[in-house]
Amino acid sequence: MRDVQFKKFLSPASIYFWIFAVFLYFPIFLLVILSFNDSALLRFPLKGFTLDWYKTVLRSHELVGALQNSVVVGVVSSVVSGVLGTMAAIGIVRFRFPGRNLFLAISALPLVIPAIVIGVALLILFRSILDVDLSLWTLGLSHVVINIPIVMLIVASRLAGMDANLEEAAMDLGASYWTAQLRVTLPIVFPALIAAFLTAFTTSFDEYAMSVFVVGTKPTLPVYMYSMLRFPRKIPVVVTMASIILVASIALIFLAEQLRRAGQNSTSKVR
Amino acid sequence: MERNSRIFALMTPPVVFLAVLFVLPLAIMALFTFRGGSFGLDTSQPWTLEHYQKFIANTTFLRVFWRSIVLSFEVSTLCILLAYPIAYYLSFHAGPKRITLLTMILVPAWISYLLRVLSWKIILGGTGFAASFLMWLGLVEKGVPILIYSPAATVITLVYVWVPFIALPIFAAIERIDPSLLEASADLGGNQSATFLRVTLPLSLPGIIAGFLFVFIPTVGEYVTPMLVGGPKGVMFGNMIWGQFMRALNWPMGSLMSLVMFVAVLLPIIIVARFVRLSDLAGV
Amino acid sequence: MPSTVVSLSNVTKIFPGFRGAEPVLAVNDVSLNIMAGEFFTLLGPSGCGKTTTLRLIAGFETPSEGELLIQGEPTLGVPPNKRPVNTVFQNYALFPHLDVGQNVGFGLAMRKVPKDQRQGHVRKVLELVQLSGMEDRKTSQLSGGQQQRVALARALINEPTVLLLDEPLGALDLKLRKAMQLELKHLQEQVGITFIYVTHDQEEALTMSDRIGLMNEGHLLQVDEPVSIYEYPQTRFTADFIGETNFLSGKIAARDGPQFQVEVAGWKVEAIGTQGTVGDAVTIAIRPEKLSLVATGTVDGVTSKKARGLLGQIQEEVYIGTDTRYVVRLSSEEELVIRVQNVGSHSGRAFSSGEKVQVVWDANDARVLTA
Repeated sequence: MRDVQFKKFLSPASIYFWIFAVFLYFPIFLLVILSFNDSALLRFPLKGFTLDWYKTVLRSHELVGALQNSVVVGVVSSVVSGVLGTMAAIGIVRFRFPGRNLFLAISALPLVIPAIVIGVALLILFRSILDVDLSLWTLGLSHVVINIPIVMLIVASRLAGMDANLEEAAMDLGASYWTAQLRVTLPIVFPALIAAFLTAFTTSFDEYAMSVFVVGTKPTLPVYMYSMLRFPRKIPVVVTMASIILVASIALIFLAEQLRRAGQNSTSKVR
Repeated sequence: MERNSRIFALMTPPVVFLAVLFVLPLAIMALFTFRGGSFGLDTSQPWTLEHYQKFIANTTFLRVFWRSIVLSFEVSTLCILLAYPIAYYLSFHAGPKRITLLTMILVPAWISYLLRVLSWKIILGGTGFAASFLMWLGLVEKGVPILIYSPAATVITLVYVWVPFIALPIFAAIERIDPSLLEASADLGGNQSATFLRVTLPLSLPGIIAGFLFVFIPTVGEYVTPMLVGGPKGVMFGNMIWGQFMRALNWPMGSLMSLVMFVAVLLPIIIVARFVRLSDLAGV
Repeated sequence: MPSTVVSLSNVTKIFPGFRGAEPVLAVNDVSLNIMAGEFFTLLGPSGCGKTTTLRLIAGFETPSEGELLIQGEPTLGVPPNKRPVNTVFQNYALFPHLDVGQNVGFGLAMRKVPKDQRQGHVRKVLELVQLSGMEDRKTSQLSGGQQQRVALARALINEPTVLLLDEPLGALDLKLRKAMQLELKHLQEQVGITFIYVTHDQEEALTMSDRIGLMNEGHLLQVDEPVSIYEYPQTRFTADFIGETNFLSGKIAARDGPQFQVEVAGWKVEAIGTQGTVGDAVTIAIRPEKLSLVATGTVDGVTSKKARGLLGQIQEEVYIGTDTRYVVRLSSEEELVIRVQNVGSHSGRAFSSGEKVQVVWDANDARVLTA
């Protein structure tokens, strides 16, 4: 038995898998390791171990400011897209109406078309048509656009797996339609709501390609970090910042996954 | 009646939002392409086709556009080739741990895109990691940039970024294959490779196509990665659009290029949508 | 004098077809009066419209035509949460994010009954369905039978005027189902609420109901007490759906009020009915247990009290423990199924395959069908 398992472990497919996994994680680990490297240059062999870069990061006002902006934009745009996306998800899953498929198609587009196209289109809207200054507000709106489909997909999937009778049962017992949504539907899809929020937040936090066009004078973190890449001396700071973000992202992703799975298992259709 | 008021209440805010902040801007962008002048909404300018003419006449634009399509195609194909064995392994050989292993592969996919591109910039750079490593080993001379600032660097980096994303749809497609079909193939005399070529591969095709498009479409619009690692030889169409808006300040031309990219990307989507109903993909 | 608690007048429900599909006529011109305090069952095969009718009463669907009154009040525009009606769903629809106590008390919470009062009511109604003490359990921890009782409790606690039950016992195994049938019947008698019950199981309907409404393809075919529906089916469908029936085709030879003489397979046999004139082609329905077999030669068709029998040959003989089931082929090629109880001396082996016999019955047991 052990023989077979060992053979399986050494099968070409298995070896390929593990090489692939290493290849996938290596650059990430590299960044983390380099953040501790005592040198302004990122080269091999590594110099001594240092926490200096971390200190620089924490002391940089600009960087902290950019981080703050990213967090605020992330939270607000995730909440707004969460609400809009959930409303659309309920409408799409529970009702049939003319234009439903058209809406599905259009609302899925932001996910599929290149970010640059959306960025360009919104830039034109804001500056040429509406003549508003670019700011974190315009940025936030653009993030809501790309996050609505993400939220819709996550929530709709959970909603479709939920027993439609439950809403009827609530109404049968005296709840109005909206009370039934609040007291029954939303609590049941709650794990999906959290997962959607976290996913939207991560997407917003990391967004660069589209953001560059509609961000104003106050940068978000990716915008700020990118601007620093032009200065070779600043690269280690960027690397360090990157390491912090990487570790935090991994933690958030695991959290979102756990919540999504927990929701899937406990409240699926009876029978 | 009640039902209609509920639909209205639920759908109006998202519909209005997307109409104003998504559909409308795209429509305006399309209209922009017909405005003369360079700076944008200059209403004194007449409607004109001059930008279209300039675009078609500009061989550089066209060449870069075509090259971007080809490069995206290369990246997508490489991703499929690299990811398929992973999905296959997970589905057929990984046993009960498959979901955990799949998640392990997917986690890097969700980490900041910018940072992953950055990591390759560091690895591939002139005084970067790979170069200094090879120097340390004594294999190369000082200061030879390995691949950086070239289309190859762009391809490698983008493949790295997208390959984990593709593993999921292919895995899902393979998982959905009815195992009794594979048994039937063996029962009818097919060996491993025959079963693979004639049963597994064709049936996993939807996953392959989905994965392919999932990479192809955003890659056509890429400009960040080429900016970081592509160098002058690795300029892509997205970079040119960026240039029109940030440097040349020729918004109508930039809009036109953006529109061209939009249409180019929409075509495969429409073709696929003919064969697959969107609601099925979304699972609702 | 029992009053009408639910009344349907010419109610029709049409579902529009989507994406080119035909519209569905789910309920077709149904008129029905349900009395206060009765156990009324809507019976019929899948797709006959019984569940749709139930949902119309509950308020989840609106009639396309016709009028639906509850306690004399029109229901048009009245949403489910405002009707004095509660539903027990087929799959129970228990709220997974609430425990048993919160599920049962949900209706009271909707009416803003304060918590301590709610808990008292919950305790009482759980006692009624024999689930005392289960308030804190999670619904996923309960067995099918227990979940069903929670669904029942959740509906009953609101003291509705009418309780609607949509095939609530479908998911239970046979033994449990039979036990629950009796329990539900007793519960209804105890509580006195009008029950409107939907099922496709005719035995269940016969066991529990005060009256049965038989539906097929959207039409309401017959409304009667179980005995009447069984003994006096009005249509071929009714006779066939409820229990087992033999059908014979023939022509009316004579009629004297309710008594008919019908020519079947060359013989004249007797039956009773309500409609028909001499010369009409009709169908006679007789239940297998009402038929008897007599060896040829022992009965003088003219002088015996029983109706003249039909001559036939036994094709099949199956021993089923309590009965023996015979299939007899007549000269007209039609086949009759006869059930003979295994009693007395001819337990099981009275007749054998291939034997020629006479099939006889009491005239009052054969029905002339109108449709």
